[in-house]
Formats: sequence, structure tokens, C-alpha cells
Amino acid sequence: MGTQNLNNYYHNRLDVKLNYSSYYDIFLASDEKDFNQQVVYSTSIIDATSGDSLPVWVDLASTDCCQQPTTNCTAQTASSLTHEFVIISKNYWPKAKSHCECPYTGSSTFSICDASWTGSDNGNIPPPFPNLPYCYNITNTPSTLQTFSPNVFFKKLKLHQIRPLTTGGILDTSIDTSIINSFDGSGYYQELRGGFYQGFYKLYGYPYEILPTRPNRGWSFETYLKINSVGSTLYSLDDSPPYNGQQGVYGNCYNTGGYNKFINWSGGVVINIMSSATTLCMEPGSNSLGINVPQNLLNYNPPTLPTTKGGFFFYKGVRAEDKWGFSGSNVDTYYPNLSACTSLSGVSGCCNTEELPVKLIRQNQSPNAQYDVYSNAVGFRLTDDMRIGYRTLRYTGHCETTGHTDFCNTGKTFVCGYMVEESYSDPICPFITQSGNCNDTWIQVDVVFKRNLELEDCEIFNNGGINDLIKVRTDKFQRYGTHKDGGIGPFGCNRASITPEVNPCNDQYPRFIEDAYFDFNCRGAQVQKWFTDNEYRLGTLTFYVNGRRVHQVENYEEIIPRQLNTNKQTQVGVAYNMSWGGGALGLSSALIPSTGCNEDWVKFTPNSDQTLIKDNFGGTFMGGISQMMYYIKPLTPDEIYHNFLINKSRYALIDCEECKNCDGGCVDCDLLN
Amino acid sequence: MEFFIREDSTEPILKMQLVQDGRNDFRNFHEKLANSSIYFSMKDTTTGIPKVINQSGGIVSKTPTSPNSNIEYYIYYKWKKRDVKKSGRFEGQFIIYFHDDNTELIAPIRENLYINISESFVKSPC
Repeated sequence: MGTQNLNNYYHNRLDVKLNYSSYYDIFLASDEKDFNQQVVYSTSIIDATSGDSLPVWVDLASTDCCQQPTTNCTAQTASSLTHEFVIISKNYWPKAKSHCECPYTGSSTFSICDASWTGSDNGNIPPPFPNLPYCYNITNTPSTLQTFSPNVFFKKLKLHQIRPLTTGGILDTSIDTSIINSFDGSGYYQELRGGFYQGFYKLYGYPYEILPTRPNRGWSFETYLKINSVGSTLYSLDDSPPYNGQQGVYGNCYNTGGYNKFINWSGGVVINIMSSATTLCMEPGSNSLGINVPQNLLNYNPPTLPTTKGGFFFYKGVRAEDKWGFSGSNVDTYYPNLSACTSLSGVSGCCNTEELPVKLIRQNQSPNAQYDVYSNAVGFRLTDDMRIGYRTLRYTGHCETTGHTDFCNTGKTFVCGYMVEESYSDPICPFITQSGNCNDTWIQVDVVFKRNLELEDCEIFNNGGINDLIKVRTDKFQRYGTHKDGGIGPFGCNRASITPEVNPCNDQYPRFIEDAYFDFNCRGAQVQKWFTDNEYRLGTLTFYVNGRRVHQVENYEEIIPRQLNTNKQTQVGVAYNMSWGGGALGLSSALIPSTGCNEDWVKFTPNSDQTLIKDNFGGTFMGGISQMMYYIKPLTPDEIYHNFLINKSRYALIDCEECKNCDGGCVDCDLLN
Repeated sequence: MEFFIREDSTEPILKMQLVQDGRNDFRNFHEKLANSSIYFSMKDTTTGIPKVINQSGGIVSKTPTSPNSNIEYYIYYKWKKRDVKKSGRFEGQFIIYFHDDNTELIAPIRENLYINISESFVKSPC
């Protein structure tokens, strides 16, 4: 057969077939209402009245959430200041628990007075006087006076302004945690000048849990932040061509760290802007790091420049390491006075149980204080150059070639540790961040985590959950498990028991550390299961600004908040925290007693392994805050855009993508009504 | 494709969905749609006079069929009173700007979309 070509081929010489695979087409859908009708028809934000999906909604412009105090810098930085701002959510989770479920004959308020040991570390309550503890009181039915009280908690999430205290329990005026009231077209709002809000949503071992620790499918956080964007009209003597005038500079005028130092995004050139730190309540000063250093801000303690800690607008997890649990800190200095200290005794449990006091110090079961932070804290921030992203301290495990044989292949050993994991977007919305003139601009920020797998019931705790890490003590196993030989019970919770202390209520299942603890033995079964179950924690983390996706992290491993690895009495209010407008103080302002078990409180000096939170999350967002919403479901892009449209007028928001396509930059883009 | 609506009525909304003929990567389309802008235009088929010009449409997620299924969207346009003031036969088109890759799609492609606004004899009591 000869060579074939177009000239000697006797069939169809040219045939054309339309390939539909290269384009998309649409067709008319049925009239069926099989879509999210809120997106199309609702005139309020998504699930505005549904605590099942929106259990936390704080709007500072609403008197239901905020007493709308008026204040100023002078008042906020006064050493005599004792008052802290308190805000609460409009909504609550219908399954929230804020009182004993067991028969309890006490008053309608359940008091947790062991809060005294930790409650002053972020300024929530003062340190106790001798024999006069300060208690957290939880109730289902708060009185009007209790609604905004800093130590009465009910089903609605309550956040309070953090207050760093120092020796003697007085306000530490070297750290500026001011919050100033303000008002604009959006209504009443507050300007953060170093301060932020923090609160807990669960007290481990006590009948208080107002949010699920691990929602079935994921969660979403939405907030409205007022930023002061750098514009092309700002001048600085320090700038040299081609950067004079700051064309192309992104950033917040008194930026997220409060220090006017910016890095040009495209050129990597550092540009100093000298004039805008005057918006701080405590004037910046000059020191060895330069002039205009905002040395009173949390971000700059210790002072290193440029800060990498600024801009946290949302934080979730443990707020501090365990200050009591380990040797090495200045607790050792006072050891003779503290070694015999215990938690408070008396009838203090649900079911009218008398709980035995536990030792106060050196009870933590982890190898060191850092373990309580691993995969237990995550912060979301807006960086100085206006990129949005997250930071977490990830618990890691991997095989290393060592010559030993363990769980890994021959010659390798499984080793554990941690890493600082973070990921950030490109600079957000140039239309805002480049075209400003230090004018205030509101933005809507959304963070959405959607797990790859939806989990139900026990799966939430067992599939990649914290039960993976829990080891029940062998001698207590009968209480919680079933013996292989079918031995006689009782197993689990038995409320009707004559001796309830023997069979604790289900809200204490299992009791740390008497019955169980987190086993962080790197080669142990618990840690191995934690890493093996990694796939159940994976999902997608997505960031939105003004309703538009700006950053997406695939295969992000969720952070599942968990309690500290110690007795419930010594960790009241430390785990399961949430911050708005900042990260966490860590142990930077913690107090311990020096002469007696609750006497003469002095500043705590952390051990070297007790500074992870302070070093990585000790920063705040500088700017305005107005609303925050925490959904216990992952919002979809159309729902986020719907919320954007609902609040567009109130905050004069712009759609950054729409404006991108307008000739000459558009101020009033035509958006869906 | 024929869509029917009564004069002065804003329901039913105009709702379109992706042709899933097994030839395209439909998941990628929905992923792109999640970061897009949508505009709707409509002209009179008889006179050629535009009735709606580049009015914002939107996307709305379909009710998921299973908990772990991927999100799929409808493209929709919500009628305004002025759009449906006059009866007649119109041709409609959507333009979709995909912001992820800066592309745009004008659809439908293979078959025209006709909107039939028929006369109504009832008026709103308000």
C-alpha cells in the first residue's frame, strides 16, 4: 500500500465535527424551588434568626449586644481604670448548655469559684483576696443587671475587653489595650487602639457549652472592619524615587501593627511613613529601634521590628498555656508557699457532688507546656501590607532516618514536633488599599472552613477528633468502657448512683486528669491514631473580602479546640476561647500568688516553653470593628455575597471585582438589589 | 427555550443552569461561577429595542443532594417591575465574567432564550 496523503485518499478528505467540550452552555431551569431561597429573597443576613446555624451575632450598633459606652484615650489609659467593656451575642445556639442537667438543689446560678486561679490572666476578673474567691456564675436566666456583667455567663456568647494586670492586680499601663467609641454612617462602632475582645464558649468539666467545639461540616466567621488605607497622596521624606508618593504601596495608615513601616509589595522596598501613629492612645516613642515606635502595643512586647504579629482580627482556641502545670517558671520561686495549694473544696459539682480538691501546681500531663497549644490555636490576620491569611501552630509527626526501628520502616523513627503554619493572600482589593488617603474604609471579611467530610454524632469526637488523643487510665477503664469478657458494670454515667462521685455525670466524661489524659507519647497508639485520622480533619479554608474570594487553602487541616491536659479546676476559662479584634495575651500578663495560696499576687514569669501563644498570637487589629458573626456551617459564596449586598449601603462597601472592570475606577458599581 | 411570565409579575425568577452533557468539566464551571459577575440583557424580538441592559444577575446554590456533594449553582435574574411592564416577546442573554481567569461567557449559546411576557388583567391592590 502506497503512502497516503490528501491527494490519493479516496474517502472524505476533510471532515469537521463541532466539539462541545471546549465551552459551557446554559439552559432554562425548571420553576422548582430547589435553591437557597434566602439568597434570592431575604432582606436580612443569612440565617439571621436561626441559632442553629448563626449562634453568634454581635452588632455594636445594637443595644442588645453592647451598652455603647462613651470613652476616650485619657480614660482608657488611666492606671485607675477597672471597668472593662462587655459585649454579647444577639443569638444563641438552641443546644447550648449553661446549667446542670443533673438534679441540682443549689440556686438557679451555678458558681465556679476556681475561676480565681486563671480568670485574672486576661483581666476578666481581679485576682482574689484571701478566702474571697471571684467566681464565674452560670445561669439560664440572667437578670437585667447580669446581662453585661463580666462574670455571669449564659447561653449567649459573652466577650470582654482584655485587660493586662500586673503585680498587685492593678492595670498594667505599659500595654495599651484601649478601645474607643465612634460613630459614622454605619452607626455606633468601636475603634481598637490596642484592645480587643475575648471570651470562652465552653468550660471543660463544667455544665457550660454554648457552641459546638467541632461543627458537623465546618464553620464561617464574618466581620466588618474599618481600615485606614494608604493612598497615593501620602508623602514621606524617607522615600526616594521611584517610591516617593507611595504609588503602589499597600497598607493601613496606622497599620495593623501601629507602626508606620510598609514594604512595597512589588519591589520589596521598605518605605517609612512617619506621620500616622498619632491615632494611638499612647504616643509612640523613640528607642533603639527607631523613632515613632509604638512601644506600648502588645505587638511590640518584646519590641522587634517589623512586627509579624499584628493584625489578628479573629482567634480561636486556647488563650494561654498552663501556668500552674510545670516547673521552671517563677512558680518555683514560691514553691514552698504553693506546693500544698489546692483547688477550692465544698459542694461544687452537678448532681450535688462534693468534688475533692486537687493540687494546684505541677499537675499537667503533657511533656511540656507547648503541647497544650499544638493544633489548638488558630489566628486570622490582616498583615501590614494588607494580605489576609491565617497562622496556626501545627502538631506534626514524621519519619526520620535514625538507625532505629519503630513504627516507621526499618532505620527510621517517628518524631513529633510542631511548626508555625501560615498562608496569606495577595494584597487585598487594590482599589481600596491603593486609592485611599488615610480615609476610613469599611470592608467585609469572611473566613470559611468546609470539611471534606461531614461528620455526625460520635464521629465528631472519634474520627480525627480529640478522642484520638485521650488515654483512659487502665484502672478506671471499667467506668468508661466495656470489658472484653463482658464483666459487670456499671459503665459510663450513672446519675442515680448513691455515690455519684464514683460515677460522674456525662458532662465530665472522662474526667481529666483523674481518669484520663491526652497521651502525647509520640510512638503511642493515641498519637499514631491522631496522625492516621488526619484525612477526617482536612477541608478547604477560604477567605473573602467584600463578598469576593481572595484566598483559598486546599487540604487545610482543621483546628479542633480542646482542653488543657490538666484538672478542670486549674484551667477555668483558658481553653475554648474566641477573640475578636486580636489574638491572645498568652501568659504575658498572668499572675500567681506569692506568699499564700491566694495572697499577694505577683506577675508570672513564664518558662521558655510557655511563650508560644504570646510570641505567635500576641497582636491586635488596629482599626474599627462593627459586627461579627460566627456560623456553625460553612457559608457558600452566594450566601456571603448576599450578606455583602445586605450591608453594602450601611458600610459603603464596594465590590472589588466589579470596580476592577470599571473604566477609571468606579465608585458606585451597579450591584444586584 | 421559552420562558413565560405575566405582565407586572416578578415571579417566577429567570433561572438557568449548566448543560451537563458529559462533555465538559462541570465542577470547574461551578468553581469559576463562585467568583463571577453576571449581567442580564433583554431585547424586543419584533423591534430590536433593548428592554433590559446589563442588569445584575446572580448565582444561587442548588439544594444539595447529599451532605458531601459539591456545590452547584443556578444563574438567575430577579425581575424588576419595570422589566415586565409591557407584554411581548423578548430575547434574553446573560454575560458572565469569570474573575478567576478574566474570561467572559455570553450564554445561552446553542439555543436562544425567549421571554414571553403575556398580558394580565389583574392589578396589584397596593
